[in-house]
Amino acid sequence: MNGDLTSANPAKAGRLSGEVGEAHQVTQLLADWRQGEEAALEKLTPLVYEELRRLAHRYMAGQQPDHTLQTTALVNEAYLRLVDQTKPSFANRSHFFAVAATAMRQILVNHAKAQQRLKRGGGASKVDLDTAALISPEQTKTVLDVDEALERLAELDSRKAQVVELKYFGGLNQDEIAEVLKISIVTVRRDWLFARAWLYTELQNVA
Amino acid sequence: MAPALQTIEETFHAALDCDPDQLNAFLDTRCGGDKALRTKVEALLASHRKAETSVEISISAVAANIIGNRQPDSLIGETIGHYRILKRIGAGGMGEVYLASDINAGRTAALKVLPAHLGSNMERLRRFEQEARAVAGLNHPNIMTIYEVGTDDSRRYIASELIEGETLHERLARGGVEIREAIEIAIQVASALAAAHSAGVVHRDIKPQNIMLRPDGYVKVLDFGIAKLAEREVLPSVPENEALKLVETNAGSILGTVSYMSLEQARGAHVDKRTDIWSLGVVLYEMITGRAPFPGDIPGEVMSSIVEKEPLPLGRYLERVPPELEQIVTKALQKNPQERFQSANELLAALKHLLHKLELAAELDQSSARDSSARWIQSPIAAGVAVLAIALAALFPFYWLRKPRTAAIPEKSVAVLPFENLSDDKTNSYFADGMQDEILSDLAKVGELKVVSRTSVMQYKSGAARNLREIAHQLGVAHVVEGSVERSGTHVHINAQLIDARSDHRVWGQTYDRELSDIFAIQSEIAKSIADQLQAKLSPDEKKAIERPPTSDVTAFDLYTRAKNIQLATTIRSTEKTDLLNVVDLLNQAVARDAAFFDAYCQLAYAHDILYFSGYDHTPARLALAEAAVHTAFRLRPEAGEAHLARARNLY
Repeated sequence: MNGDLTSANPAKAGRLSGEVGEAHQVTQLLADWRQGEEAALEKLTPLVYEELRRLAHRYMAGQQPDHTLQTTALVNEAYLRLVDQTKPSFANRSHFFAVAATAMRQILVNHAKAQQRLKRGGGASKVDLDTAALISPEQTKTVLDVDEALERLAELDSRKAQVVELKYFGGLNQDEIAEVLKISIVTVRRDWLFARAWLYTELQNVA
Repeated sequence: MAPALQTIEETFHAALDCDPDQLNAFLDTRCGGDKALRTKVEALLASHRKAETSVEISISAVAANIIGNRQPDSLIGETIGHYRILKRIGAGGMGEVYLASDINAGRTAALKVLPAHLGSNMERLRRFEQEARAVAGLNHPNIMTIYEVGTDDSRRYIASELIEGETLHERLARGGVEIREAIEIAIQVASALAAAHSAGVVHRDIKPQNIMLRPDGYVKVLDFGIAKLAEREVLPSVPENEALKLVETNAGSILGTVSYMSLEQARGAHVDKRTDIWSLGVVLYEMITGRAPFPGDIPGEVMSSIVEKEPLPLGRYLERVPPELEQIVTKALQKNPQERFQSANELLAALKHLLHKLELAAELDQSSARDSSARWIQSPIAAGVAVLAIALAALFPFYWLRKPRTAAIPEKSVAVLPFENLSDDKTNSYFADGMQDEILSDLAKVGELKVVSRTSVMQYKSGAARNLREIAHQLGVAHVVEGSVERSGTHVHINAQLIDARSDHRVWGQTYDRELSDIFAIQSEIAKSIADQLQAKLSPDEKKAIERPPTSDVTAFDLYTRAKNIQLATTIRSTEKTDLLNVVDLLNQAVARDAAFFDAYCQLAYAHDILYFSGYDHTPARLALAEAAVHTAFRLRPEAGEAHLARARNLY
């Protein structure tokens, strides 16, 4: 394993230079968001998005094609870099992951849509094909189908859609989801079981 | 009107909590006449079951890869070392796999190109090469052969044999496997592990993706030792809970799925060969139940399940799980490595024992209760085996699991006791056994009769003062057949009688003084007379089967009988290799004398099979011999049950 994604050791993460200021900023924004400041989330998301992107780029360089990168690992690495680790807090981590989940979903959906446009446009050679080739047409469809199904679920029961987003796109575990959504773990479990079955059924109908 | 989401949800959860047997009744009550609700809930339950079996969530990996914005570069057309890359055939955490043509050797090979980071640690690479050579040196039929580990322009590659077939992962995705097939696959994997462990190599990444199923029934284990290349060093100073987190966030060591990780791997602790035993336990569990023993939706959940939870018993997922199978899986999945099987050999022995037991139980079921269908096997082939085993029960009447006899004793039931050898030459005793065996086999062909298998009557040796009433009671039959054989030169003197054991009344008796060459006719006559006395009606086919002599050659029959006696004298479990080879030798002589000796070919196929599957001679050559014997038997009597059975056995 090369070293990029493996610094799960908080002590090491704390030493990363040049990111200390950013860490304070992100930590503060997380605290603000937790206290109900929605504006904090707006500032937070691009920061997280950028960091995820940067990390993934760096990690993927030198890998063989089809090497899969685990979202959880990626997000965790971003968290260790962006959030002040001198006062590690479970709540901080959960909320950071929640932001990352939204970012991940957005990344996927944007990419899939771009790819579909590309296909409709007849694959013009001016367009950068590298990114497009990263996911297959089937995967593109799946991403968009899941996204749309999640939107429908959100209309019926927004909390369940959030549970899915946190777990599916962000890799949060039950405890973390419970913390972010302020619901009991039992409820998380029930929501997930139902939402997952609901989504599977929906996706089947689409297919 | 469409049912409300809340109603659907509540019904769905209640149904999840409901006993599977009660589900229909529950839905009947709960949904009443609300068809829409029921349809919706049933669709959700089906989706739930489907979702439960898939652990990996590919979408999040896709997301990560998209933002990684990688260039998909292909090696097709390139030459690496002396391999020309033809086609990509797969990919895994350990790198891409290509179909390649070996320019030097003029053969095709599978070429795995290691990801850059795996090829960068020279020390590990050296150790891996060492292990690869050690494993290759074993030349084990269940281990993929590695041709070479090479380097070209800083690219590391592993060239290996190209294996046809599908991975167990793909097989399981198509649908479940039968218990017996699962055990047979596990046996071959355990056999590979035993060999590798003996060479000091631990696999570390046993999972369905690394197990190839060839169309000819061979199972090949791939990628020995490669997992080690990808492992991170875990510092001994890292506390356990930190180590768990470390593994969890370490994308490299979570290659693909974590479901097959042993507890010590999940903890990032030191692993030894017992980690493979655990992983094989997980694979076996999944083959049988179609589910992961340690479920979870994301790697972290799976890992905490591995660390904290006990898997649900197999019996929760399917009916009539052999208790021994449950025990094997439980023992393989012990959290403390000390409590697991301590070696792959130990696990292998347990699996083989179980397999034999199941085979015997299936045969026994047929011989003692021919009207009941096989219970634990359901595949078409196994069902074929079960049906066709009826005739075979008399041929290979091993007796293992005696069911308590509580039911009333049927009138048309008989035990053919060993015949007494009255010949001067006492070495002719097998001839008396052969006589008994043939009569017993003939009677077993009669559908209306219940006939006790030969193994279970073996203990009542002739000569001793036998209490027939007691014996019949123990065997659960109303009648017994006794007899004696005297052979001198080309003459035989045979006496047989049928006795109603309940009253000690002699129902029928006959003495035959004939030429030796008449014995097959005498056997048929005795069998028909007994059937007649017991008022068992013979169908034309049954009559034909009884009248057909097993062979035209008395010497061939002698050889065959001796071979059968050896095999019968011991239980399968304690059959020695030399005994089996002796059996093969005798049968080969028998078929050399009579090339149309159908029963001998069946028995021969069976002996080869046991040599192969018991591991005494687990070679393609042995399997080919079994196949050849089956083929001949099948050609001799395409319609015969025994041949089908031997064939089916071989197809496994």
